[in-house]
Amino acid sequence: MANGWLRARAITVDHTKVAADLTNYAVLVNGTYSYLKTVANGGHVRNTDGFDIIFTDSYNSSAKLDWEIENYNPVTGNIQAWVRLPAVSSSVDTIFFMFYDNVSISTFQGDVPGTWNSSFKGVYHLSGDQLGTGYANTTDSTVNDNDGTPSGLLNEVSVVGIVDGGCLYSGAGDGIQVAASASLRIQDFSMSLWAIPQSIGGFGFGLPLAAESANAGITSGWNLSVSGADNKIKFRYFDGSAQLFSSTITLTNGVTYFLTLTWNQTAGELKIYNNNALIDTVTTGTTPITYSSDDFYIGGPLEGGIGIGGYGGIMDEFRFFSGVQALGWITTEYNNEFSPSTFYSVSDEIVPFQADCGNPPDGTQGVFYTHTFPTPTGGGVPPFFFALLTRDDTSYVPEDVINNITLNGITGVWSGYPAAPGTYLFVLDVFDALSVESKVDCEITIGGSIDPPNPPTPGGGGGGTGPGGGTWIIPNGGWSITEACARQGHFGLQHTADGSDAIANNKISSNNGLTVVAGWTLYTYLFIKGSGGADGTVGIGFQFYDVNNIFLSESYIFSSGSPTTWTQFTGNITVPAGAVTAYPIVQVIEHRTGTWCIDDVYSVRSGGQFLISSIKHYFDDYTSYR
Amino acid sequence: MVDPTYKNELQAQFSGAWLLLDSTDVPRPHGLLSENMEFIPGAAHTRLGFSEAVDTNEAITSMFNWISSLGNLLVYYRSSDNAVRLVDIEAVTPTASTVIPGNLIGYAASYADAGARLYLAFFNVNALGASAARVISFQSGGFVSDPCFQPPIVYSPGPPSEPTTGTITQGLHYLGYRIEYRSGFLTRPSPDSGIGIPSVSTFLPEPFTATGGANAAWTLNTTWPDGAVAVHVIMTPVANQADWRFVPGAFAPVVGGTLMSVTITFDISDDLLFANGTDASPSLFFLTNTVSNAPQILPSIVCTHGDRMCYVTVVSDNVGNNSGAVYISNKNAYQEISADQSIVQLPGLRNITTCISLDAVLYIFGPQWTYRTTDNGSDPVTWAAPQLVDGRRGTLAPRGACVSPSGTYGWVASQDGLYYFPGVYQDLPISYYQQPDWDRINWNAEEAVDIKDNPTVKKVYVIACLDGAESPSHLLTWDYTNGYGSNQVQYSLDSLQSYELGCMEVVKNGLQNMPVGVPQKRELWLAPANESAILRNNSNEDTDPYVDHGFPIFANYETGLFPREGSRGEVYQHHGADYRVKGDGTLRIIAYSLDHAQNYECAIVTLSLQPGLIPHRSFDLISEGVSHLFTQGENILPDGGFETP
Repeated sequence: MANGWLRARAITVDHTKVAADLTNYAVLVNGTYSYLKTVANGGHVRNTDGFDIIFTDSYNSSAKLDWEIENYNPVTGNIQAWVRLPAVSSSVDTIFFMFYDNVSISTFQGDVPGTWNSSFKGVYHLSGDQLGTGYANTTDSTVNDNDGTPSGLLNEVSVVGIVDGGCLYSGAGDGIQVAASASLRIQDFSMSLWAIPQSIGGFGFGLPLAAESANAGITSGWNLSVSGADNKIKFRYFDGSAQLFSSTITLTNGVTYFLTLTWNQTAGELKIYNNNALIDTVTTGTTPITYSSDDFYIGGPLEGGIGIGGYGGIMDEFRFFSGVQALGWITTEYNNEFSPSTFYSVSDEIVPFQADCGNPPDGTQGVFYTHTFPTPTGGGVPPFFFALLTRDDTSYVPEDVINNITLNGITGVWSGYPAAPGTYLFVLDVFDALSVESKVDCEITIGGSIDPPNPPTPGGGGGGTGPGGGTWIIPNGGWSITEACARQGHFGLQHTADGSDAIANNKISSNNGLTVVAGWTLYTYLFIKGSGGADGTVGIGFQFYDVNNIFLSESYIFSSGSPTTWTQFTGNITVPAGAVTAYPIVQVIEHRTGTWCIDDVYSVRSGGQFLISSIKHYFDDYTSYR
Repeated sequence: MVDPTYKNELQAQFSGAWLLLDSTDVPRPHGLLSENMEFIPGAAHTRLGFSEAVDTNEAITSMFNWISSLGNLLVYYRSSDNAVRLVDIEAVTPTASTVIPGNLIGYAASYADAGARLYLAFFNVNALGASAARVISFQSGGFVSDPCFQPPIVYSPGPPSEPTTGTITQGLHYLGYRIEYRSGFLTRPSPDSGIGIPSVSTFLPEPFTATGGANAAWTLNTTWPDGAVAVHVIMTPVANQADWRFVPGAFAPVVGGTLMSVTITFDISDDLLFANGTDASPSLFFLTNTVSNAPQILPSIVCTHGDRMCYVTVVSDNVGNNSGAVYISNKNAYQEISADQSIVQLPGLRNITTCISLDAVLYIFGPQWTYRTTDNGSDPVTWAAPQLVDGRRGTLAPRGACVSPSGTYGWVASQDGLYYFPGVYQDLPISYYQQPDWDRINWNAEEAVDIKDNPTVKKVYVIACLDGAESPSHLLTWDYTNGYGSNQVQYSLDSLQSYELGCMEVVKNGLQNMPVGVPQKRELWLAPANESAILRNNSNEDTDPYVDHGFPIFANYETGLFPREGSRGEVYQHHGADYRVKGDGTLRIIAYSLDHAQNYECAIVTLSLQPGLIPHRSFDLISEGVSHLFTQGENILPDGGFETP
């Protein structure tokens, strides 16, 4: 989709209305479309001149076609635009695209001269008020710049069935005069026009429809007229002598005609078409027309006032063309201009995608935050790429990191550990695979610092999970399980001195009794660290019980020193005779100042290493009586 | 005195456990259980322990021993904040420093050694690329990192002046400039529009109408992007505005991150430009980050393939369907890739998890398939379509395939086993007889699976999460001293007590103060999954080699059944055994009847290193067969944390 345009529709030319394969054909888009009203009038066009209406030959391409907007009404959405298609097929439908809704467009994006291929020497839409003069627009749209000058009572009128407005000729000599131009003095040529005669008949002279001649008496150049005597079309030219040819068609006031004349000088052949039908084929001489530097006239008046008046009626879309137009082209033009609504169809709106914040949840400082920006709504061509902009929309956020939360541009996952509380405003900027961009304002709020979980309440059997899955029995007296004392994982054991030499309840034990065998060596260890001048020692040991659950003894190993960083101490304890159960114990003694942290209490069977090099296994046959 | 009428059977060879078979079918010397054991001819013994190598005290999910002209370095991915850090192993006091700050996304990194540069990609727990690929290099006295595929910039300098006479061909030229980054990447041309993904259409070259008979001086005054080291001028001749050429000699050094004006003067006719100016047109099609450095691909794996760099990633089609892809760089230009010319995909656009380069062949692995392709010297898109090597076997793990240090064979951790991979799959994985253990691997945690081969000790290691664990729990070790066949390797399931495995790497030990025989030896190093030290595998030369970071090794070995297999079907009365053992500590021996229906705990043996012992232990079991379990260092308190109830 063209970059920056938010809406599009496909326009499909019905190939059955195209009479031949054509190149560089300017198709007419003519209709009233509510969505082409400006936003202020309930539509989607942003520019009051319709400049943000553009045409491309592909939805995926940002390369524009050439077009001319003959008329655009921002209130009604009525438009007449001519769009040059590089090729139009008579066998398959031709599709091109109309984009609109781009707020940043304020200049015309098309190319008026480029709309008309080089064979066109003059294209006059004859509509619109020219520069506020009250006269119809007589500007030539081609590159030749053969603009005309209106004269007389020539006015624009609304014409039903023809393109936008046309010119109303009074029949009293008003018309359009184009300054002499070499581009209009050619031999093989075609011309076409829409005409609704209103006052023909009753005159002896022809009423000129067009001329490249100084006067109706034809001493040079040519003229095309309607005879006042028989209402037939006359074509005169001068090739050293005056030539006159008359059509078989008789014009009638009030009837709409699409007239085309082609003259093939080389072949000496004149053809006259009405609408999409060939009316006359006339053999002429092959001598070239003799031109002088006369002006060119559309509808009159002729120079010098000869001709009494001029064509009386409505004329629209006069074109002068170098070369001989074929019936296929003429028929296609007729179909297109006479009935645009059947010549092409317009698709439903292709709504481009819209970036979506997806309601990012609030976060908490230091707590992992993640949010996946959803797939943009409304379409677009995947894959989408996500980026962040500052809220003023002026610059990209470096590395797409806001408050330590990083956006993955491919997945749209935004995650990290928020660094600071606050409300953060930003713009989510999403591109689709065709580089179409959509933005949306987003914000998140990061709350204050982490609330540590409440530690278990010390005393009377509370406490955390003990080794082997049991529960530590924690008495009152300075013990707690805290996050601050975690060596790894989440919590560790904390003991804070009470300031006395003798600390009551200075030991904790696990209720997880381990089955042991007398003689085993238990290799036991834990990690400690002290702070605040922690003194004393920490012990790890076991209480042993016999098979009747009678207490036998307890043994400890004790740390030495007061490390301020995590330090492991280990020792071996031998299971005494008679013991079948051992309960792990941790205790602190002579602890007068500071705080101990204790974590990762383990016991394993005695370590070492072994090597087996042979086994001699003794066995015997078994008999049940033995 | 043993009754001389008893029969006896002697076993003097010991081999790893065969877990697949029913115990009655396991031929001795293979065992029924081997954990934390090693095997030498004639004996089974406790494996060597691990001791502290570097006390990084960090959780690590991947590490790489980067040996280059820059030294012997250990690079690792710190999982706590997703940073990449680096240690000089040979420093007197190895100290870690951060090379890539913790703004990455992903579970771990993969690494590709490119001499004095190290390429990194990052994968997440779904084995997909997570962050932009990076390059680490050494600049101005320190290690730095940069994103791969750094972008052009939008700065438009305006046309050059023509200060003096010269030979620039009269007429309309176009100018552009290409920024060279310290990562070694000479990016696509600038100025860029900065809108969307840099492409041919976003390149906004500077028109320059030369008057003829003059030279040109082009001033570029901007804040150069981070990592920029030079700027090169490119130009089109008058006759062909699509033919971009480097202007020979027209470049200038710049300082990244600094506002700096450089004026580059050049003087060259179109004839000479065409003759001597290196073609720069292909750079218009380079795939780079956006101007804001947003990546266009997120590789999960990087690996070198000959003189190219491979980036394993995922691409999406226009309707959002993903497929696996490998972007393969231009030769000797590891970051020069284009979206359409550098891509290799598997037939049917099948998924890709990783790739390895072996004997000049690139092997591409998907979850259940393996393909191969070879470099034809041209753009990768022109290479022959990857050929199927195996349609059943591949790997789910980003690190599930590796190349041995010899480069002549590899290893593949397929879901059905560990394969020795010399370019084809063997009929049976080497793990065939350990299938029950292999099937314990939690393939939902495929991101943790890693393979390392240490030819020095002829062992291959697989680190994995077993039994539903979601972080690495075990080290599966195969000793291939006797060959690569499933019936030749010796297996042990290893683990460490009180040490959470994070990842592993085979490292050239350059640490100071190592025992004689250890320095520069290749060793298996382990990194922790929590805040602990990096450990190195001990050697016999270490003072106390049979300790894991201060903790006992929980070693278990259970023999096959006595008497030998040929005697099955008979019931015997088993009286005892003489054990030739040595070591230290105490040894627990348990005699088990068939299928552990009964057991007899023997009196504990107090070991002696020298001389060894032949203690006799009596037991009385009636069974078709009896196995002997030796165990030491048993963990009886497996968890010592203090957590909330």
